[in-house]
Amino acid sequence: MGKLDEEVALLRSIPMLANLPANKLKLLAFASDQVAYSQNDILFRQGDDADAAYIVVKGFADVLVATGAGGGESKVAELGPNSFVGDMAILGDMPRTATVRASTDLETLRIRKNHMMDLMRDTPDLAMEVLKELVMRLAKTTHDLSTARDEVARLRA
Amino acid sequence: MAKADAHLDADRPLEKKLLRYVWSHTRSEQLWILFVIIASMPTYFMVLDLPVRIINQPIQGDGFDSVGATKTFMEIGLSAPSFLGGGSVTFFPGVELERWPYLIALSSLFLALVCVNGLFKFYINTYKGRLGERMLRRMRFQLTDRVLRFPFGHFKRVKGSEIASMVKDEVEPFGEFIGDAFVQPVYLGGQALVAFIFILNQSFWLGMIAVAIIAFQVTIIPYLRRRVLELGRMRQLTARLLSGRIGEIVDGIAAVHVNDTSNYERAELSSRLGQIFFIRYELYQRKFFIKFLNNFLAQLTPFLFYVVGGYFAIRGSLNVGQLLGVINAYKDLPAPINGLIMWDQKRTDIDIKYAQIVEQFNVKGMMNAEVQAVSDAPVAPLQGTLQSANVQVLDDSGSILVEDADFRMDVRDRVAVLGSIGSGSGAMANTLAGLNEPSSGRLTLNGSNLLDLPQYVRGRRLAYFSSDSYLPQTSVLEALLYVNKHVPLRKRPDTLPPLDRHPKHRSEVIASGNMLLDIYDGWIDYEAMGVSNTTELFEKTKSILDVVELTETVNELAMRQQLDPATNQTLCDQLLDMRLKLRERINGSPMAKLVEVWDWNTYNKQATLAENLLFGTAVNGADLEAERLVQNAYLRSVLAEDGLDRALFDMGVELAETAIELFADLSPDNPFFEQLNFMSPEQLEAYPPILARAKQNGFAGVTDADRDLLLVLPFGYIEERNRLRLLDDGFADRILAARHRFHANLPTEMAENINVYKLERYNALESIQDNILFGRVAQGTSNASDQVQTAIRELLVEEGLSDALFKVGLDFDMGTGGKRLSENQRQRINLARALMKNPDLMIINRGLNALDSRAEKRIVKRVAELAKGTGTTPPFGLFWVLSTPALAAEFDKVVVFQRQRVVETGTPDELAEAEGTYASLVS
Repeated sequence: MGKLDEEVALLRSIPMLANLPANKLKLLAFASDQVAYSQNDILFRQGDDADAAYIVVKGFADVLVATGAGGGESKVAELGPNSFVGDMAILGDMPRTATVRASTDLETLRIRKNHMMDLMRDTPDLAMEVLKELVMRLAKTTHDLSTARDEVARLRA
Repeated sequence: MAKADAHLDADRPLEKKLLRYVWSHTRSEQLWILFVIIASMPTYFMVLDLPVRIINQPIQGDGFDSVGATKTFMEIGLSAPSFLGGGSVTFFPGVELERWPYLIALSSLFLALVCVNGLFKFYINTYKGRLGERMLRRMRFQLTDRVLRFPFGHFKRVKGSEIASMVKDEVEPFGEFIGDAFVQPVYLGGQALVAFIFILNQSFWLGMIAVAIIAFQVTIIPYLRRRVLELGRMRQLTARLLSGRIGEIVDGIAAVHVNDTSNYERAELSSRLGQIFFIRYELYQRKFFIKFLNNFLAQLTPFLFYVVGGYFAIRGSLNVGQLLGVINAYKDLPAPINGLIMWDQKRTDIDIKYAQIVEQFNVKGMMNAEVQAVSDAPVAPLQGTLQSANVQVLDDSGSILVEDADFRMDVRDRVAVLGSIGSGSGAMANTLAGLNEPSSGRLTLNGSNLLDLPQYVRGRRLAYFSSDSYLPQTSVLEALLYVNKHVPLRKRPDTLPPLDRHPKHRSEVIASGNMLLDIYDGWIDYEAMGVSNTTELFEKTKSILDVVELTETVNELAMRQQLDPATNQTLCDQLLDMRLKLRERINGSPMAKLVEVWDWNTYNKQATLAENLLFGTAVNGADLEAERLVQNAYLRSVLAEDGLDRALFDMGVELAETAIELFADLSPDNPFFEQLNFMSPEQLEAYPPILARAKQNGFAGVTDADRDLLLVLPFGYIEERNRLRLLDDGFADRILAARHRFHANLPTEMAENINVYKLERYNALESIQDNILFGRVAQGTSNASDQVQTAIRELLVEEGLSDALFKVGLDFDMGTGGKRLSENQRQRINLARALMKNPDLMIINRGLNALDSRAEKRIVKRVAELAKGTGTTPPFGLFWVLSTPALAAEFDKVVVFQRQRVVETGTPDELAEAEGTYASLVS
């Protein structure tokens, strides 16, 4: 069963999912959709309702955030193979916080929100992993914020 | 027709005694039938009398003592029985006949009388049947008429299915009885009396025997019957509760499944049915005992006749002919007597049933019929000031829904109403719409009571809906037009094919007091919608569906509809044409890879294996769906030729293994099961043992049932979707070869049940979209489906077919309660039809809370804008209970409810500055 196993391997490379039991990973792979995008296709837009998260299989994508009221967008990150994107929105039940656009031709694995939520309910380990990941991101954000504040204070001074 | 009288009649509570009800509606018919019955009596008497004469006179020779003696035939006169003193009157002297012709004459007369008697019976029975059916029709109409006028609160206490069971089933026996209500006792009583007089006439003492037995019957039977009647009442109540419960199970089926309470329901049902069973069983026991007693008594009388009558006959004080006559007449006595007893039993039984029903329909606080009066007079738009002064509303248990509500608005003000659920905002909207009645305070329009407005004014000038407004099973278009069908405005055009209706249709409507307004006339009020013909109506419908953002949905529904080429020839041809144009357009474009087209010589990896084998769509019910397809002998032989059945079996084993590995420990309602397209959660449970047996015994060794269950799995397998790489090119080629072999020798009866994919043929069994595509949309490319649909949409517009398709979408059947649409689509339909009405004031109780917040915002904004009036549509007022407070800024006025009271009123700006409840709600 070639393809499914490749996808399982891919899912295992995502830190958050790495410790899931094999059959759960396989189930997730089986239930996820393979979705391909052409360059410049939009995966989702900031403000959309979130219904799925994506794992990049091949290619690159840009994460864009709207700046100010003018409708301009600035790139805040680039995603490469094995990155997991859109996970925050499906966990938090909130609109997308950024737009993701394919910067090359892109192959992804699309994981639906209800599947992810269900897996978390069934697998406490996964919930723990997700929690860890979120705490780490929060720590990073806090750190970034304090650096930024220092920077602002320094510039004001 | 005197309308006022009809109203008065409708407003009276239903008559509590069935006989009085029947009498008041059918007096003249009952009298006529009585007359006919009395007219039939002489014939009946003569039919009884003649056999005695035939035996005594021509046969036994009574009065033919000498050769050539004659008798008078057809002497018509009346003679009183001897015990009344005798005496006679002669109308016709008759003719003299000898013995043999006399026998023939009497016998022929007997035959003629039998015929006349039979015809009387035929006429009487038909007449009674019609009488009963008319009354039944009247009663059903009256009962539903009352349902339409029940006070709203009453619907919290009654179950729809119980009402339906009363109107439909429980009144059914009345139909049979009503025809007999007065006729039967008179008819049977008359018969009994005639037979009885006859017996008395022949022998006084034999008659007295009959009297004694009957007297005994008449006293004992009612006593025995009391319990039977009680049981009958219990039977009716338990049956009604049963239909109520079944209705509840159906309505709440989701709760049964998600809570695993199906077995609780089964047990409950079983106990109910048990109750019903024992009631009915006891009923039978008692009924048949009474019957036994009746029969016994009926047979006891002849016994006494034989003994006593025989004694007199032997002694010579009674002649044999007389005795035979008495016995003969007695044969006819038990039947009417029993009939009378039965009639009385039925009467009491039905009286009880009737009382039970009437009780349910004589509801306190029912609306006056005047409120729903038919009126085709034009209704002037409402305007002026709506005022709520100290309005208090209580629910049926007495708790307060709204208290001291004070506010005023112009009918055309756009008012946003805020407040959480239970704050009184929704109850206020319902009160304005006339669904609640204030228990105190006044709700006025220009000073006069708003609730006094008849329904024909409110129904035309106000619009109302709430978030759970019910949609019956109709097409989308019907649902939209429903709000504008108040009264028939135009006769049904003669251009339409004539209706297949009974010639007496109209006179029967009148005879049974039903409604004369014709459902087939033109009810749609075009003028109210500001349109003058169907074309304009269509444009209006489209523009309103744009407002509520349903246009896309309707287009999608159209795409999913199936069309029958037999009735839609032109459109189907045009769609076929489009199929070819779409082909041309996407061939060679990047879109080509988004659709995998049906091709006789290619395996379609986006379709199931079964679809690939059949290369066509199977007619519903032709036993060619996957589960039955595997058992199809012809297909199996085709597969076996190449050993494909074995290969598919191995594939089935692999699929079963994968499914069990991935899904075995999930609960059946787990969302992951949506992805398992070749097996249902219930089926999954059956597979582990099958798999074990299959591994042990191999293809050749397993039972047929196991083999079929494994073979069916690959049939639903879609290579590109399931991505298990079970189908390499070599295998696909073998399937392809099997497809070709399958069709090469296809038996005719199977060929008739498969619509083969042919580029130049419209497939009636596939959706419009699949027909245009003539293939399957590829999985695994972003928005493939959207892109394809956009391309189709563009082409439809270019071809000028979008309107035709939109109409197909409007014909979509929404299912019971509109459940084939999602909740948010139903809410949009409710808004759309409120807009279709062109009301003066639109009252909305939340209404759009199933929409996502951005769509809700867009639509509310749009409607608030429309309410100001446009060049083509008049302005209207809004009283909108919003679930999203921020949207109140779009309105002229805001009324804020909290704890059942109005706490703030004012313009959004004023209130925002006041920093009160409103300000905290919107911030």
